[in-house]
Amino acid sequence: MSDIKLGATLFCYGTEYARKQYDFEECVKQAALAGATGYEIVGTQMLPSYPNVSDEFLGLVNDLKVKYGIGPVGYGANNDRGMRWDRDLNDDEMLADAVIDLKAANKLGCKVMRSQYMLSPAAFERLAPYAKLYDVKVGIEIHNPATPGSPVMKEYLEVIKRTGSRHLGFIPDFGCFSIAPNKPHWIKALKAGVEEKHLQMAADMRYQGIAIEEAQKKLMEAGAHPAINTALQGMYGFVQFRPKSALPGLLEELKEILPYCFEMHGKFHYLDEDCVEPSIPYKEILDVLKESDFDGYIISEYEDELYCGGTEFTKRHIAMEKELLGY
Amino acid sequence: MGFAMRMKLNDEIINAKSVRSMYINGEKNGFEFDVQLAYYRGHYLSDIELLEVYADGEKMPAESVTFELRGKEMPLYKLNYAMTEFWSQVEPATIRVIKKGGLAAGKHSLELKLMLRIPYMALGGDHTYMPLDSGDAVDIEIA
Repeated sequence: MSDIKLGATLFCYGTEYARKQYDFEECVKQAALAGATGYEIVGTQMLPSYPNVSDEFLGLVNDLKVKYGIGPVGYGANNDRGMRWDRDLNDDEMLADAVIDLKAANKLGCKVMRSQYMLSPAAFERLAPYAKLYDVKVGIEIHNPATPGSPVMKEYLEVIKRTGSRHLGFIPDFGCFSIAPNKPHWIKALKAGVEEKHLQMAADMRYQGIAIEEAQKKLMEAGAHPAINTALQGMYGFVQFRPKSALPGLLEELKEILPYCFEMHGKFHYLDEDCVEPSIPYKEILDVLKESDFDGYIISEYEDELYCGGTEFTKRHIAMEKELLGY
Repeated sequence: MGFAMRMKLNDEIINAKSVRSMYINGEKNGFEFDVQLAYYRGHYLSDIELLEVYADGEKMPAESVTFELRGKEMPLYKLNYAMTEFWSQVEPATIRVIKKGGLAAGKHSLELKLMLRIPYMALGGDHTYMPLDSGDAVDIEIA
């Protein structure tokens, strides 16, 4: 029997925050107004004393919990392997930084921490005893273009199964189940002067699995505006999509790792008033979750590529989830 | 230069209103301005790969330029080593430039070249990362 809770990452309000239209309190308030019962905080974005949590900031977090009824439930860590100017951090260093992240998560009262694949499977394994001490469950984010069945995710799965640690797992980002082009990228390309027929042609070639170099060549031959290249990079990169026929297979991959999932990232790029995400099949994904034993948060994550702010969209997203879950 | 990330969430990278003359012993001998990162999150200063200031097209010598965050003023060469100094994207840093005689009253062009590594966005292995362009150019008027 699943127990799905609905939360939001304050990253949704990243544009308002960067423009100083919202301070931290306003972000928390807006998440509460949107219907979130808990929030994720991205350390590198909103922790004033990153990578540490100051007593002063914790005081603010606790005050806001009383005021708006919601507090942090997830800590979004970054694994900055490239922070040194001269070389990549090694596993020992990545591990040591991840321990600092655990301390931040624990101090904020978060039971879940989202980490990225820059933290190698070997370092992830060594993090387990520390995660247990702090009682923070560390989930590796599965972000498009990776899927739950990608080879690198299988390496993490092997670590999780072998250690038997209840503190190591996954956080799938729903963007990895995309089955249609990203709408903001499409809108931006049109605005830049790309013709819709060329975008459609690019999408069709992506569906057919044609290599990016060949797709690029064919588009140029067809006289496409050069600005199509940005959209094309997206279609083959972080916002890539697969044919709808691939969805059942992707959802099977999800089912396989669900027993090890602590949280879901409800990625969305666009939501019209009809509350349908154009590229991510929410109904099919949420049906899988409903019928599972998943117990945790779906954290709404709006990626504001249109720079229009996430306030309205986040409200729509949680409303959509409630509708689909029958809440 | 190839593709670089740029996320201009806020209206200004160089805060045009912050540009002001700098005084040494009471004499105008330089200028200062505030700058905010063009990204959704902060970075360690060690992620900065390039920082150059140009006044009316003239490059300011590296030793005359400093980067100041939370009251700590650093020469540019130290940024490479500043991997405990975290620069939040909502917290402006101050760039100070010593220039004999400063900028004369009137209009000037000011350019900041600022490139960083996005340290979690690896492009293959071996210390290659997505570049972030947080530079800016503004037309200013010195009173």
